[in-house]
Amino acid sequence: MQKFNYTVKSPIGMHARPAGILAQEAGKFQSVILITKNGRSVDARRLFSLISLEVVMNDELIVTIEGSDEEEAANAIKEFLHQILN
Amino acid sequence: MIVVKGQAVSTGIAIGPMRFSAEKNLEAVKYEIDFVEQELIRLHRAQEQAAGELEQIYNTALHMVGEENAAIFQMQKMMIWDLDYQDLAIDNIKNKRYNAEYAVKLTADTVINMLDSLQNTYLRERRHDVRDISRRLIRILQEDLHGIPESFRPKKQNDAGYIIGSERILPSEAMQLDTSKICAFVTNRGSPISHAAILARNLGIPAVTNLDMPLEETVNEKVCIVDGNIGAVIIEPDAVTLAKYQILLEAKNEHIKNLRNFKDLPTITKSGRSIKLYANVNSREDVQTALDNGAEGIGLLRSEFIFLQRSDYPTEEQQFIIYRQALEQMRGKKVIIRTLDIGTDKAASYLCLAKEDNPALGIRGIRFCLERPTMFKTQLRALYRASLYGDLAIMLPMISSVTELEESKELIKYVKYELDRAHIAYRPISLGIMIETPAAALISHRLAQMTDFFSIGTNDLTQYTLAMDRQNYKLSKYMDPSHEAILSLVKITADNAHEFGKKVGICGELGSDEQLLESFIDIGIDELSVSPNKILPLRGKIASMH
Repeated sequence: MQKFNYTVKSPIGMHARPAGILAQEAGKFQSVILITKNGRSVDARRLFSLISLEVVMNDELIVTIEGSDEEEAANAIKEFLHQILN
Repeated sequence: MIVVKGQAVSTGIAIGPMRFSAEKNLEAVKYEIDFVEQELIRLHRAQEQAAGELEQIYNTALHMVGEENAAIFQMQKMMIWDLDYQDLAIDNIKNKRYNAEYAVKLTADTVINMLDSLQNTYLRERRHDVRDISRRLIRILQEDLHGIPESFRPKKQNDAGYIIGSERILPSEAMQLDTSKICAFVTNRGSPISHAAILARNLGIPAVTNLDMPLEETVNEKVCIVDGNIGAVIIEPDAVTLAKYQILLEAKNEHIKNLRNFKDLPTITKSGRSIKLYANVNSREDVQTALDNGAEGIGLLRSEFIFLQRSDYPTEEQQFIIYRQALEQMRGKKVIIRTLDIGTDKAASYLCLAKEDNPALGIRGIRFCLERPTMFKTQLRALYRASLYGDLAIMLPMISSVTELEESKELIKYVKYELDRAHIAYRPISLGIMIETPAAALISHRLAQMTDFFSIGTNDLTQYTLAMDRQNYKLSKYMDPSHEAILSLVKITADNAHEFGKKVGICGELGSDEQLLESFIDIGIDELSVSPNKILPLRGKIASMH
């Protein structure tokens, strides 16, 4: 299992469009990818679930990835979060 | 005459007949199904068709409102395929045995309920997108061929200038309107960040929403005035009011027509003092806009668009084609292309940018290019090859030391040497630099001897001189671009340039500040490069100056 933390830098947090792209990216992998905020976890492949997390600036997200391609997925998701939420 | 007040979301004035369409409450028919599999297939087919329609709408929207605003339709496509949305719809079909139409309606209600409970306005606003896609799916399932309300479409061939009125306008409805015939939008409910509002602003037509008194179909075909300046809709105006607004409308049209007269005129004051007006452009499309607005040249063609939104470096050939097109389009008018000005705050993963704490003070501009000489030389080669097709000048960003300039010139010398060896022809190109740091302004006497011209980037110059982050909106009340320090650096730069017989222009926003025109002409600024829509008003203003 891969796990890492990520603190959101972007002042506008995660809006619908980046959430959609994240969901798409996450959907490319076999592994189960969960995003946790304040104890609540959602499937990163689900757009409306991501939106319901209401990710804003300074949120500390915990990302857990479990599956056959977890390393690749972890790198991709980490890179993606830096790109869109920084 | 009835005056209805509301919220203005797009300025301007329009007079015309109102076409109001009551919301055709897309009733989802409801019944119990016998065959689950069949119903699931129906749903899937509808999803595919909806996705195809949205792709087309996205392409239309690209032209009407640009990429950033059109992106919402890509997002709507994602919503259609979203697992949560699907799971809910499938559950309604499989376990509750509802037909697909009703399953979609229930799904929409559930998702919209969730969105309603969010704090963030922007995220909540997405319920309109959920409603939009759900209506689309239901419409497709019920084989309702006319997705757009009847009254949104023009009635007769020579139909023109009517006002669209409705309860609200959904994002995709806004993109499917025949905008050549519409002169204003009025909706009972809406928001300034809705798609219809964005479209109205892009079209330059007035729009008013959130009315005090909701309109209904009774206003159909009635002459109305939409005042997007104060936020009002006047139904069946009396003769006096109508005359008053007609005069305002005529005055505005006159004004626009007069500005048009300035399009091909030179920029001179009454006493004959002159200055050139160039355009700042960000993309290929902008070049035509610049010409349409009477630009005498392009003072800044930002080349970043060629490097962003892609997955790998653009090739020399790809760049060459773009530079050549711009030069040919400008037909001999000067085109100043700025080499890649990028910092770690710009996202493009192939660039492999290491994160920096202070991108504005980091590896950006010329430093970025000098660290990637292969990439930089490719751009320079493409520019040199393109030089045959017009009047090209190259401008280097963020130069703040003599060393940076020397290194850049070395690379250029090498590029020319390579082209010579390969017998590839090129024309001599003027080399200029952006003056956008205090350091550059203060050593401009040295830099003037090493370059052909300067262009003062006042936006960044203000940031670095006043030590304020441009992106920090909290500082906007402190940010004074006409601060004495800035103007002082502009003067120093201009004086040094002229001492060595070199030209100096301004390409930051300060260039379009009408209050400073007099000073700029006095200091002897040779050209102002501004956004295309500012050119004609500035030329008009200068013509009225002594």
